[in-house]
Amino acid sequence: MSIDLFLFSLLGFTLIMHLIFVNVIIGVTVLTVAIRYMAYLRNDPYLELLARRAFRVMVIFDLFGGVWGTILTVYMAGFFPSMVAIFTRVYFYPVAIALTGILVSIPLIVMYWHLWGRISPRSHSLLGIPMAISVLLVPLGFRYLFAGLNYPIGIDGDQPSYIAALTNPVYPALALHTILGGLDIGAFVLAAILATRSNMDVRGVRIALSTGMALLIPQSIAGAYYYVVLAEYDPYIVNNIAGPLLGGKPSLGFVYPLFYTAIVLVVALTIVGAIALYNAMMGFVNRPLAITAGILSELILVLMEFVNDGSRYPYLFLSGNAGIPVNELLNEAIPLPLVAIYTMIASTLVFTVIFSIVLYYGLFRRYLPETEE
Amino acid sequence: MVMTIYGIYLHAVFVSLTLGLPLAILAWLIMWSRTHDNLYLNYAKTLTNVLIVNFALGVVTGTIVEFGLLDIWPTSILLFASSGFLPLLYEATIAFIGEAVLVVFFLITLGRWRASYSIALLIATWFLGSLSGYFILTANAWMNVPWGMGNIPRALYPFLPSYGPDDANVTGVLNLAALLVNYTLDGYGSMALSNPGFTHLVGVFYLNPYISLVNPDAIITTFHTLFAAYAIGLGVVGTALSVRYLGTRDDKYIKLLRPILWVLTIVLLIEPIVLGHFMGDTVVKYQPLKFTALVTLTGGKGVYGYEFYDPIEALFAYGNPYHPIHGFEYYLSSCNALGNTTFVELYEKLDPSMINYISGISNLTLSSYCREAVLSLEPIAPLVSAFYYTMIGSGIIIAIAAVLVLFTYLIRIPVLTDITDFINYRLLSPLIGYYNVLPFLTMVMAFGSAIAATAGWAAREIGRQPWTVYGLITTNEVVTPVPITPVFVAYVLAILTAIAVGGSLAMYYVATRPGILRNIGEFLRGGES
Repeated sequence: MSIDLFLFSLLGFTLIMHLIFVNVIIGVTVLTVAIRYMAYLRNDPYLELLARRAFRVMVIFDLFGGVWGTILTVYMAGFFPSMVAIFTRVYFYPVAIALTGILVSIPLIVMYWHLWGRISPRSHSLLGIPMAISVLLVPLGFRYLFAGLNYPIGIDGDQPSYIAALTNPVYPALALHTILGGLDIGAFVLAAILATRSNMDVRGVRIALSTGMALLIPQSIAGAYYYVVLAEYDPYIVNNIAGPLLGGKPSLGFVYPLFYTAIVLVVALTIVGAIALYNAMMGFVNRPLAITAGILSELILVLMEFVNDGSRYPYLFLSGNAGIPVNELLNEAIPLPLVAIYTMIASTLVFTVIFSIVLYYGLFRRYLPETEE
Repeated sequence: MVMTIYGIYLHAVFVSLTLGLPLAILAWLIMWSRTHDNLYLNYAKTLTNVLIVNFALGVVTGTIVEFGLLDIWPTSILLFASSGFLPLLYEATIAFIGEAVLVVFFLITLGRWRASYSIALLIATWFLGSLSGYFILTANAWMNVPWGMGNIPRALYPFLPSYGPDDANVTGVLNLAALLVNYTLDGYGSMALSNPGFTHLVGVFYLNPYISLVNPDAIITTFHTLFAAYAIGLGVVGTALSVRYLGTRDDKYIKLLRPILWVLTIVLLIEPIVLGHFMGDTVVKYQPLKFTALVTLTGGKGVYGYEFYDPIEALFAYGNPYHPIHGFEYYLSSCNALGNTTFVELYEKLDPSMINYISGISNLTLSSYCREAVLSLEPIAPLVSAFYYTMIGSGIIIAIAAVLVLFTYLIRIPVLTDITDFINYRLLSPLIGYYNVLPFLTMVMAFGSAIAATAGWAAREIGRQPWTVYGLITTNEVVTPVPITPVFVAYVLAILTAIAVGGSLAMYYVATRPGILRNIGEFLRGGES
């Protein structure tokens, strides 16, 4: 494997690890706020309990999502310095928007949790709105960078106007697809967790699954919309994704099979989710199917993001059928220390395993600190 | 600059607590395992919750600092891609990720696992936090002492020493300098980096990315800064307990204070006396111009001459009170040694392919470039010196306070204890009250540590001017080309202030209401009570 492909893959791996957590954070936060608001409107204690359970999932995922975000940032700056320099120059304000989201969301999450039950349900429900907005600001800001990879602005060295950067034509479709995807994944993962033995909650599974299933439709439409936009601005990507079945002329042989697989998995998710939802509506939780739906939703995310990002290889910034290749943006300021890089990968994997143990104890075994003695 | 300074200091406050609080928790857990007194366990749990809130705030402010560097000072991306490559990637992928996972692991297992396991987990968390500090400070230290650049800075500034082995590629460095200068003269040096193919054009300029990990300045800076952080974190806990004691006169707070004071006094005896000395030695050896700026206030007008005498500073710096200290005129004279060589002559000889990039400074002589750097530090030297002597003064006070606490309240040694007893009971007691002496000394140590650390860091960073990387890259070569409006600055400062105020209130709330543990339990169970 060439060094540029290796580092391109490493960047993709880090991004996908980050997104596995981030999508749950996005979806579950919005779901928590919505359920909590419904609990207030209907004065329904059960819904309030469900909102608390959902929020617990979000808090645990938020920690590790942030850690992977930091790793992703230093990987980008370390391996692709000029790409980051372009991002920070052209997309200064979108990055500032995303940062604002990060900065504001964490204190709001703490407040939202701590004030639960201490202020009126109405005030608490209202507090959820800025929290959800701040969480959504993060992908809304950072997705500009991805749109900038697909439809580059300002890479010729000229400083573009901020209007030009903010009105990137690829952005709206990508942002919509991202947000709906996050909501959908959050719903399915929440349903899967509520279907586990120690968190069993039939009504919760029903609510989460019905949300996930309902969102599959707009998410599919948003996906198609994004595909159409890409076809207009990024024929290189679309040719690689579409493959021969959809009339594309792929330069890369490994992308379209994964895209087809992802489409098949979407169909599978629809079927599995529908059966699990039917069972939940009948009053029992089909644990294997509900958990499978959660896993499938994350698997589809992994494949689709891989397709979205991998299909640009060997380019990073794309313009029509060509672009700026990976090796032109690769860090050449130092001889890259491969042993050190392998060490970093091993370390992240080891700590991911330990995190999984923490997740298991925290979420499924409810291994909690004792109350005050 | 204002945003960056504010963000870094704010981050430093939270990070200091993240590093210091585990030592206090550790002291209480050890006491709990030895005495089985649940007072220690309960307070260890409460402080663990403060630690978790603080850790989250450290992550938030760390994100600000990281993106602030990348966004406001884009040339710092070059640091991520060269000398800072290994430290920063190791920090993220080994230290930070490990600390984040283990701190939560510690939280959820505290009280469930036996004390020895919890202690081991806490030590591992604290170690990874400290390791994180080492990696970050290594990146910062390279900007102060660019280890591995050998004699290259000395070629431009003859008064500078050699910075370790020659692990830099001269052509690469000249390429980099030419590009940064070219874009700086054109508006903003940082624009160079956003040129695709930038690093290809520069080529390999830093040949050994491992060398920054053994930078002597990094090692001493790490110990010096980490000990300061431990002192601040422990000092905050000590102050909180002292204030409680003064308000309630409940002896349990003194009981809780004692194990913490053991750690705090030892830290404060090592920090200013031993580590401070070695830190000063490093500055004298590797940052001579900064050293002159540091002693401006005691050097008098001689500082602006060729050399001057300052017996106390000379004694600590050179081991000889009669050793002369170089004044600014010495550095200006050193610059003259570069003669009339111009940049175009330099590049014609060493790197002819980049001549087009240095057209803006082609006829500038190396000596005038060098003199300009020296002269730019002169006006701010008194400010740097003021910060330095504030740090020294605070360091002396906290070391004295540590001695007074150690030999009167923690350990009794003939003669030494007689002296400290005399000061504490005969001098201080009549002034502030017998039972107030220990809380008073604790608060002196706490506030003194905070003042020393704040002033010391300011002296370190401002004294680095006019360079961002000492002897290599100037500050105006790193700033963003994006116009930063006053509204944007106000917006960022407002958010930072909100985080500072909100975060402090949250930690206070958690610390003063131990019942919050029960709420956490309920929350994590999903609201069941």
